[in-house]
Amino acid sequence: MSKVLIIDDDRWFADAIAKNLHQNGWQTHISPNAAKGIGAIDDFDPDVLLLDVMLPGSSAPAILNELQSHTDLADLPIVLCTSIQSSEFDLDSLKSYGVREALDKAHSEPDDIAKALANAID
Amino acid sequence: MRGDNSEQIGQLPSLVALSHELKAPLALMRQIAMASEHYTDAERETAFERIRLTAERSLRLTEALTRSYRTDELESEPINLGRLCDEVAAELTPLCRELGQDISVKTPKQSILAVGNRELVSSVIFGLCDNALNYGQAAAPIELKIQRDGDDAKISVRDYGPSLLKSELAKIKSKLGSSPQTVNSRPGSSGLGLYIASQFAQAMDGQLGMTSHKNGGQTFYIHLPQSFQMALV
Repeated sequence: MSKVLIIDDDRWFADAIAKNLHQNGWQTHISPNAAKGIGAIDDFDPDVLLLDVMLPGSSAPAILNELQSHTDLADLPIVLCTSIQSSEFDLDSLKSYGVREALDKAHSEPDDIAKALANAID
Repeated sequence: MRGDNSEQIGQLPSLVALSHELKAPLALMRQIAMASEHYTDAERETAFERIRLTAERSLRLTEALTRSYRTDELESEPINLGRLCDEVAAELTPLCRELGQDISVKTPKQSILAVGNRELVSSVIFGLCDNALNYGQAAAPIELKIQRDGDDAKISVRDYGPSLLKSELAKIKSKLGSSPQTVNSRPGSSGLGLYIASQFAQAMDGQLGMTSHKNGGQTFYIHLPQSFQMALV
């Protein structure tokens, strides 16, 4: 069973996504902020991260930088899931940080997220 | 006395940030609705309640945003702050319960009256509580407190969410100086709710402020002119 760590401060959004992923055979863990997310990476040992961009405290770029500073985590695949329009950030520049795809929270279907995560660990 | 060890707040967020803040609840409701297709009856009931609470929260924000564009003709009256905070807390209790957070109101024995517009003061308290709900840790309480501060009445909303990073705080403090530039919000937020609250505070000759706590969390507060009507009686 593949493991996904969901880092999202919107608890209800994370719950809804986690339930759907669980039904699709994923093992899930939710962290509400960057600090807890970084801690959960060691404990939960995820295969992939589903990461919100705007988080309280340190936001997604801080997590991306933190992961790059650890050689064993630098290749951890990441899928961004955010309400920020994709035109607001440069996905190509984020690929070197392990970001495989960026999903729009407002328009993605629950199965899109499962597919993007599966593609990310392929 | 106003704002010792505190910062003034309220800066109009960028359009991108505004759009994010208004879009987020719509995206949330859509995701919950889609996910609920495969839920059990009990889970679906929870999902519907979350959609309703999210819609109400979003409506409060958009209505306040509309109201913030017409604050020139205000009718002010003496307001019993304890009673008003109790009403707000009661209305927010279902939302807090669903988020796993407690909300409490601490009032002094003797009622404190402020001079202001009831609708706007209520909206400010809702806005500060909403901010605390956004940033409070799960199971951490939200505390409303009413007190006198010199000739002012002060309503504060304490949360136990993540504090501003020291670097962010230093940046904000250096910007403050004698300039009117103000702290927007915590990182990751557009600060729309706080911007509206600061507009309303100014419209009532009040002031919004914030204190960051060493042991985590922040207190946002509003100062309003105190009404001494009761003392005269």
